[in-house]
Amino acid sequence: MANKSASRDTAMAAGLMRCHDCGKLVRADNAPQDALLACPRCDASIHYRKFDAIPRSWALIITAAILLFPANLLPIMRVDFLGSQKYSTIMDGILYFFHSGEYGIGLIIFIASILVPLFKIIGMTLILLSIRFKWKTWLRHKAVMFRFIQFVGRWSMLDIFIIALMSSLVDFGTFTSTQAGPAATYLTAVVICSMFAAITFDSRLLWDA
Amino acid sequence: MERPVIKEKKGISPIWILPLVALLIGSWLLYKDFEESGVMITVRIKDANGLTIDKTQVMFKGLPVGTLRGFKVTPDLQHIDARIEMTKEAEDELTKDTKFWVVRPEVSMNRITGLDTLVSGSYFEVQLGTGTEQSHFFTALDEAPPLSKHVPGLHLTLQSLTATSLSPSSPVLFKKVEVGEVISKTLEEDGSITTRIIIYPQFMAHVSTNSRFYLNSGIYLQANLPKISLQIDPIKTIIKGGVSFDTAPGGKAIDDNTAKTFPLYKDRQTAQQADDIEIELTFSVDHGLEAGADIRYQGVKIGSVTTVELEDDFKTVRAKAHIYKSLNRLLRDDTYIWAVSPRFSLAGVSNFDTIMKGSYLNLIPGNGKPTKSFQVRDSRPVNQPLSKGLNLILETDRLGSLGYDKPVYYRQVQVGHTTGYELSATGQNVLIYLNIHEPYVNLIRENTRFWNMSGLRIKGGLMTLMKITTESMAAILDGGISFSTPEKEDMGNRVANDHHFTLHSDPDDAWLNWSPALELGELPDK
Repeated sequence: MANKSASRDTAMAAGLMRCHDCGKLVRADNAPQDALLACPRCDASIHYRKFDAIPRSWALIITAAILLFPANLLPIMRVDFLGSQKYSTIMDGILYFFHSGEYGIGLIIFIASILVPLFKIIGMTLILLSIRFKWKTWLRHKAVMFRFIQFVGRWSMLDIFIIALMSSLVDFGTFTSTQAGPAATYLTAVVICSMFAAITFDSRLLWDA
Repeated sequence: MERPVIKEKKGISPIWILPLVALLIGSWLLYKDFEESGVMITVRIKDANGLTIDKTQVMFKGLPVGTLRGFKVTPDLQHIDARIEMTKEAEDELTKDTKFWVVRPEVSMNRITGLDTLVSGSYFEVQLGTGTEQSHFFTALDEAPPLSKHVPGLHLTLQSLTATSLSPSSPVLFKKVEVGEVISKTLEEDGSITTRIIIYPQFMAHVSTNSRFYLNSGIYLQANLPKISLQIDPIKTIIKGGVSFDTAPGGKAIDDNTAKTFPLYKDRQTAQQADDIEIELTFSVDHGLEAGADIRYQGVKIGSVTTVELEDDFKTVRAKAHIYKSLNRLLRDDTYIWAVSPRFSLAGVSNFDTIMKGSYLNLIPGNGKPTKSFQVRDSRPVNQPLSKGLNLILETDRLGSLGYDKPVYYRQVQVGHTTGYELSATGQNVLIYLNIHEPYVNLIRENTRFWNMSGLRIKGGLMTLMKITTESMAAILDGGISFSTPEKEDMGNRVANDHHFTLHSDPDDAWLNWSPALELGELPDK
């Protein structure tokens, strides 16, 4: 019932859209569905739904999914100690904390660096798939999940901040120093891509489908 | 209500470049990983102490060329097969003669190695092979292999009979500077020890055919009374032992035409004696001589006794001795060698130095044919004519308290000394040899009278006047000879060497009053 009324009672159904910049309400019932529209008052781009949202989200989520592999398989941190180099991946660091009894820190890093990126990618893929295949069930739950994805995205950068801090704090020349590994770049790319995927996505598309 | 402005739509969204780039990066990483993934080899090791999977590396000259990937215990439970991933670069060098060994920290009395592993953990070290036949299975060595013969430097072989405290990487010292190292030490089938050493290229010029190698004792105490010398080598030498060498000048440089095998002496002294002349000495009686006793000429050490052994007939003692190489001119068949031991007598202690240093052998060279076998005499030669001064012979009926080195006085001034004595050929009297020192030679004339100084003379009797004449205190204790020369024409001509005089037992009073004017000092002719 709610779904049916939603599709009928939207502004889009009434041919109305609102400029996000100057707030002007525009009637666009004559314009083609996928045309590029601009606000007649401030010339900002206007749309019923975020422009090109689904392909963009798809592209960013796929990018994030691909980069997730090097981010987790390559070493994220290099510790030089008296001339010997030790590389460790994200998982190595988590296991290190668990082995040394620091379960709290281990858990935080595990959630922030592994669970959250994975959750975001899977969640976004699920949402995009449900639009693609017009799955009409659990729409409200998916919306909640989307909001959570938007909120939690920034926390994945925790690991990057730790490494950035370590490499600047733990630097005693040849005695010991810490440097970021290649995976740090990939992890950053994963987080940024998935955040942009959430930003470019328009949650209203869930009900449009 | 206004209508929106319709703009022209662009083509496909550029956002799709992103996954494309990600794909490119991913496939490039995959390709790189595949390209860099090395070959798996198996190295059989004794135990896996200190080795960590995925962390332990294989080092080649400090460069990682492989990583340990796994372990497998051999079916007989005796060894462990370590699976190692070697880098692509090292693949071609994995030939049959490639050697692996595990580097672990080792601190023992004679060496300290692998200290870096205390921090980095144990690691594999590899010496890549140069052969052609490839192999993927190796057995690790127990310890680092000896340096290859291809390492630049001078490779030498040292032979010794006894086991030594050397170990691979012990230093080779030249003037206490490290110029090389020990490569290996092997026990030969005949029981001798062969030590291979390398002299670093920049020090090769210090080795010649005259080089003598000896073991570093580390601490060297030479107690040669009254001198005690204590030499302590660098601490590394004390811990690790080592080989030193000295090079006498004049040798030929070592090249492919000269022998590269040297004897290894047990200490520096032995090495120095290696070039000495070995002579054989025969004793008839014991002189308290021990191995190490000096042989001296003119009071200077020219060699030493090395061994003293009893002959099979239990009567003679045979000794071997070394004489410094340059002194072979001294060794003639009429060279006179006698033993000098401490002697105590009423007159004092003679050869005082022998009390501290032990007996020694004295040598007077002859002019005969060269020889290397000598009979050691019991006493000094009867007469040692000196080249300087005037040598005279006195005849007397008895020796009295005279002997060797007794003073000859003129007006209580010592002007000469006795050099020896012996019975005359017929045994009827005693011949005393004496030497008048150079400046006083002119005092001796044909009519010079010699008499024996008993030190104290008492003349006269109970009823007559008693007259006591004394000589100097030294003369009273030691005895001696005194002489007097007549005045003016009575003195006669000067005498030649070996002129015979009579030694009177007492002087005439008249002799004591003679006071001729004679010129002393160097004389123009003799």
